Amino acid sequence: MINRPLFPWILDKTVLVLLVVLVHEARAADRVDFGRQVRPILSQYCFQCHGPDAKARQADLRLDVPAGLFSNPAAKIVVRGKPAESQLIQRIMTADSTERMPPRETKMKLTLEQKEILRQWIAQGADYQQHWSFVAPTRPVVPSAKTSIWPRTEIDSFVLAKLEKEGLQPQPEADRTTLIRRLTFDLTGLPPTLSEIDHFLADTSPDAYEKLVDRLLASTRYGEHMAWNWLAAARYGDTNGYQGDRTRTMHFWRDWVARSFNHNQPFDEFTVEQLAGDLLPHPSEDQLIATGFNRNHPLNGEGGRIAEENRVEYVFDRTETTGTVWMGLTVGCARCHDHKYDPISQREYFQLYNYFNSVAETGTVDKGGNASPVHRVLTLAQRREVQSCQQEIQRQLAIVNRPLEQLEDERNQWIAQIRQQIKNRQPKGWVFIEPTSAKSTGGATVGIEKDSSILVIGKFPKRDDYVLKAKNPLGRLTAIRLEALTHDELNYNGPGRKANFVLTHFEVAVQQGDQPPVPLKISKALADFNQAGLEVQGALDPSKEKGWGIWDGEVKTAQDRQAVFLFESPVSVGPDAHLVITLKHQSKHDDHVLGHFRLSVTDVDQPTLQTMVLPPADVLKVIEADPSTWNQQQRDQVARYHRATTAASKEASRIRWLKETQVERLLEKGSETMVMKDLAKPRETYMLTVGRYDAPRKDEGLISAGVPASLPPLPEGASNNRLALAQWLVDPNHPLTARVAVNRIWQQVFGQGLVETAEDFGSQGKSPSHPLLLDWLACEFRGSNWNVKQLVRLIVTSAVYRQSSEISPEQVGQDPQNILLARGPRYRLPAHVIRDQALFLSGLLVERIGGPAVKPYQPPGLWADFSFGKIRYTQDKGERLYRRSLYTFWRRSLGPPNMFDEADRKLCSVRTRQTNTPLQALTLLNDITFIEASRVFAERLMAKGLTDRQLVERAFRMATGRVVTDAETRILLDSLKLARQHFHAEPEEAKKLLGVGEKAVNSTLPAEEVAALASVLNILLNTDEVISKE
Amino acid sequence: MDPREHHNQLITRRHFFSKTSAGIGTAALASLLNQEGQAQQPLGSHFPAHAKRVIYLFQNGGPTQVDLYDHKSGLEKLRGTDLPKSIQGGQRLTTMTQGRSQKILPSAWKFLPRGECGTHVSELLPHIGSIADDICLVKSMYTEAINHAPAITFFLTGSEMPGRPSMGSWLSYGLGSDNDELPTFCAMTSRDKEASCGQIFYEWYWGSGFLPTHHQGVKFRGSGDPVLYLSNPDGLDQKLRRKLLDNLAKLNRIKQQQVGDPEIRTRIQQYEMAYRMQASVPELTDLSTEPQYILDMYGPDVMRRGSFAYNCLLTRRLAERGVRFMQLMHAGWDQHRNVPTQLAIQCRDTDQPSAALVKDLKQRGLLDDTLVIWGGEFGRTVFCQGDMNNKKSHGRDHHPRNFCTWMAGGGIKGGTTYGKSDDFSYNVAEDGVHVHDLQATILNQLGIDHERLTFKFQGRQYRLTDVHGKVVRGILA
Repeated sequence: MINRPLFPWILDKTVLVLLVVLVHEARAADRVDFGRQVRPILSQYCFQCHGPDAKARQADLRLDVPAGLFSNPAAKIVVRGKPAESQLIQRIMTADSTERMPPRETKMKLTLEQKEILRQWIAQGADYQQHWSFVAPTRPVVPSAKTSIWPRTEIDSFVLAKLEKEGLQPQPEADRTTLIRRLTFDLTGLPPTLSEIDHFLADTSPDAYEKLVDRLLASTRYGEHMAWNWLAAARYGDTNGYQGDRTRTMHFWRDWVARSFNHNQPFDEFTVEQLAGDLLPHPSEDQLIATGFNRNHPLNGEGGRIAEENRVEYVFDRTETTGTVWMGLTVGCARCHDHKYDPISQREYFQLYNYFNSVAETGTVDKGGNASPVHRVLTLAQRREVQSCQQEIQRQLAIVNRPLEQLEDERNQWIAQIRQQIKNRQPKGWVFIEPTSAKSTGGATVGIEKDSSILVIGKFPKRDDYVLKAKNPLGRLTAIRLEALTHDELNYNGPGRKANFVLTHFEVAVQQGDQPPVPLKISKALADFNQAGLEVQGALDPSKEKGWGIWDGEVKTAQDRQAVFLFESPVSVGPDAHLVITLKHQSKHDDHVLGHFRLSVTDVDQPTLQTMVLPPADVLKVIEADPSTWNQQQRDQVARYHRATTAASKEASRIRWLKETQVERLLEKGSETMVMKDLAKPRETYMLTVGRYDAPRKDEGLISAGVPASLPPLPEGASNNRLALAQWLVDPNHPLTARVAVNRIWQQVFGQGLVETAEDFGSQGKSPSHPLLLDWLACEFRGSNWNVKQLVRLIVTSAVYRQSSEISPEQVGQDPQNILLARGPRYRLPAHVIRDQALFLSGLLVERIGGPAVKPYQPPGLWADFSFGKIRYTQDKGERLYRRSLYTFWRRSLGPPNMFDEADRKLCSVRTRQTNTPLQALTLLNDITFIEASRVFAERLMAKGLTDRQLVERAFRMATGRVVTDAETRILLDSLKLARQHFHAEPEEAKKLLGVGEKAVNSTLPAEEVAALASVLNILLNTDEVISKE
Repeated sequence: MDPREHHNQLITRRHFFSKTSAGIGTAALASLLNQEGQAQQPLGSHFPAHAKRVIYLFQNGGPTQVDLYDHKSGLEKLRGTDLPKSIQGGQRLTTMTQGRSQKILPSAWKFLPRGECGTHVSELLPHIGSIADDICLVKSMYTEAINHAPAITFFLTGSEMPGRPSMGSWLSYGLGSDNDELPTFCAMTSRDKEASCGQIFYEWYWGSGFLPTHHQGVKFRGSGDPVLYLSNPDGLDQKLRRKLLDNLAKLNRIKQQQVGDPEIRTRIQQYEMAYRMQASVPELTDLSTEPQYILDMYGPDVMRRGSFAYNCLLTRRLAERGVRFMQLMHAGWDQHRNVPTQLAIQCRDTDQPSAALVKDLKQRGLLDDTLVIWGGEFGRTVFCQGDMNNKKSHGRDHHPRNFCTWMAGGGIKGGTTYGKSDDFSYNVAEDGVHVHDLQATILNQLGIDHERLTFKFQGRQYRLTDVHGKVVRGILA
């Protein structure tokens, strides 16, 4: 039923048409349909002042709820069956312009037709239904149609029933070459190859078509193709937008989307993981990456911006994008005031907002081009290396923790040796110093650990000195030892606070009471490792240029090192004196300060690095006692201490630490991707006056998370967090999610949705063209456990989909938009598919899945122009020029210039749009991408040694799938002749044409011939048929 | 049905127009091809128009009204004194001058009465002064935004947030085009030679927002192809291209007979128009046919591609060829710390070309139906930013509360001023003109009721002026 007048905007000329339409309408539908005909009128003309927005409401009258329409008998707004008595009719019909609705100042006017619809509706009893999309779909009965042979699926029965009602016939099935081309584009975004076409044509089995569908659904190209529209919905970009427009790394999320489609992840899981994967129990790396969905919004890194203002903007974006993508609702309208048309109050908006308001973000761009929170993702090779390190760490830990009984003999010997020394009252070894105080001049926190070691944490000055005071444990001192020790709380496990350190001065003094400390003279220093140029001797003089360092390549600092400082002569220190030890780190290298170390002294003459280390005092005390008196705890204490000091343990620990640092460094090599992660303490949510970040409505109180009252409640007992919201969206009772999702898939295949306004299922959106079909598909989708491939399969195996798109102009005139689906879909391919096709036909396409974005050809100077030279485009080389468009770098301020009509990726976009401008024609004619593809396509064909006619036939069939007609052949051969004449006359021109693009020229072929064929193929690739799906 | 509603259906759905089958006639190059390539009639004007086209000489950065247009003779004796609190009135300032002292810095340049009307214009703008009798100087503009990008976006799209259609797109959508070989809406950018400021020219300044993309402005570039992808590739000359495009059309016509999809007809037209554009743009941008005295009018930079002068002359040529909306954007007016050192240079770059364009249009009889607008996104503070006593480092901060814009032609009352600021050029004193008022007035001059030029998007009827704006009748002839 076509009722749209031809020139409707010229009101006075349309009256006649309208009347014709009106009659037509009345005949077609005997009863006025409230949802389809009445509500849209009320919504468009009345709801602004008599709708959900309480503040804007006039005369305390609501026309968006049944109570307002019917419940006040005195007001007589609508008197069922009696239009003349109904105020609604009186006020729109009155001749008194001051009384008439809508008021003059709105500049809105009801047409005769609209008034008549309202009148008829009341005359017929004023049936009322809630807005269709807010009522959960129930599985409709599949209609039985008169033509029972046509339908292949239930879809067809619904479509046919409507066609029969309108007196229309479906088209016969398209021919098989058209079908395979249509299907291959729809499922993979690329055309079929000749052998694929031939194979399909030769397959006479009854399920040949279904087998083809299954083959295409199993291709990894399917996921790449399906990802495109999801990226547009998710406002995915490779930069942050705004001023600066820095690069971010979110391709892990993009690749996850393609992978997820390829694995046919059920749509409910796909939903939950993207909205709340971080809140799932023990989320996998993929589940974390998935949450990047709501981090794909632009980030404002402009200097001087208020971070909180940015942050609030991001929360708005998440709230509204989630509303559009899953519910098809324009929730953003309720950001500043109650929604004017749909039942979403401003308070409810902020209840939804609350779910997204506690992300651990600051509003700044604090992680390179990314913003916290982020998750680090490794490449496969890096991941393998980490795994191997971790296995090694486990092996070494097994040595460190080997059973104590294994060491019994060794231990007993060691105990005996210590006891002997104690007996001789001559400790021949290193004794740990127990500091009584430890300070950092730079303000770091210096803590004394149980094993007498010193750990520095907290504030991290670039340079720092430590001063320690300790009682002297020995009467006589010959030397002092410094151990630089690893620790897992330090960066790269120490021993410096960030791996390496430079000890520029080491000083030991003796302090008697309150007297100033007297430095001890150190004559010699030894170390088990000296960094080249930073030998331990350098720590003896106060100069900042010299000092002790231990750097030995990237991952090798993380091991225990020691230095021994020998006093010039043995020193005797009384028991009331203190040792004051100063460690200075004043080198030119920032952050080179010790993080974990330990000091010990000895009275052994001429001690070395090998001199025995005595156990700390508590262990020593146990050993002093007769071993037969030890209890179990003491036995264990001694045994554990011994095990840790064995050479095997030390070596195992050393390897373990190195491996751990290696892991840490590897993790740093990976790239960060933005993810969702909430603060431990959620932020408080207030309504914001007209959405201003600094104008909270404290008078309205704190807003807790929640879903709009007009939709089903959250499941009972749900924890009411983001995860609950995600699960609620895919709850079987949710009226919107399944409908919105199937509508978008339908839109992708047919060019427009069953609900044309894919972004708006509210009362201002279009009514569904086939409401029962939409509900049936939604129920089917839900019932299939949200099986996306099955839904796609269902749609493309329908007879509706398989119809021919060829019809006469008269037939087009009956339904120009093909709303009734009496023919197959035919429309221009999206720009990204046109590019991929050109690369594919020429053989240039490099099918590598995933990875960082690539920068193919783009006219020079574009980025530099818009950014005053601050941002420049560095075009990639080699295979990165020929990847699928999915991987093309997307700068938000200026998307790829040859991607016309594609969503700009600044905001969520769920509706495909198509325009035709001469600029697009210029792009396809002149962009290097297409010129080069034509040339390489020509070379590819010419390598086969074909005649002109064969060349033309083959090229045409590759590009369109079908056999060229004689008339077409003549035109193409004529073109080839023209081009050949030209290039033979101008051989230099041919060389120039071949020089376009970076792909090496096949010099075995004559340049004039290649150029001639290339210029013909350039035309072929611009024909309507080649750039259209039909 | 509501006509706008119908219209919306048309632009968002496939629709077959049998009436267009006769050919494109005066179909606009860009505007008449809509969704799915179906020819689309523009909405048309609501009442007779005064202007057919608009030239917006947008001065990015915020030109200082204090030094250029808003003459205040009383300020000299207040030099160096604090701006009275009563005048300042707790205004929001950028973080650059917040909390600092606000010493009055009078203009260092003389103002002279110009033309018969005697409108005072700074000596820095001798050429614009010479067209004083043709312009209406609005001295009471005000806006809401205080930073460049939001303020420019506000002027050009009616909203501080990017995403709405720009003015030229609205006009393309509302009125279509008057020519069949050039875009309806052209944008050009230039910047001061010293590159003293770095505001980015965002694409959305001439974007179509939620309107179909064929309404977006076509950027004429200062380097490379004047229009993206305009040139044939190396080695493929126009004669061969022409022949091959003829064959392309033949192939498409065969397909059209076979399939019946009216879009194929549009495709044929689309390629034909592309070819015409390829043919017409080189002619358009070839200034060698301009006589010397015309080149001299526009000043010494006129032959330098990408300069403001070049863009002004190109604009006249576009206007002659029926382009609807020409948006020139010239950056360099953001003189926070360089009013004494840079303003004169900035004026030299822009003064002569701006005035030349008006004079040139006038001498060709085009000024009557061309609305020319000259102005920035806000003005600058009367008080000094930086050290009062150091001329090498002081300037003025952003000032949205009052500033000046001028208009000429297109039914505007020339030789007049409109509105007044207070004695400090700090607040509007009389007849304030809000950004939405200016927009309403521009549309009005093109025969459009700004309240009725709407587009439904996400369930709401949007318009350029949001829910505000009133036509400034006082400036109309």
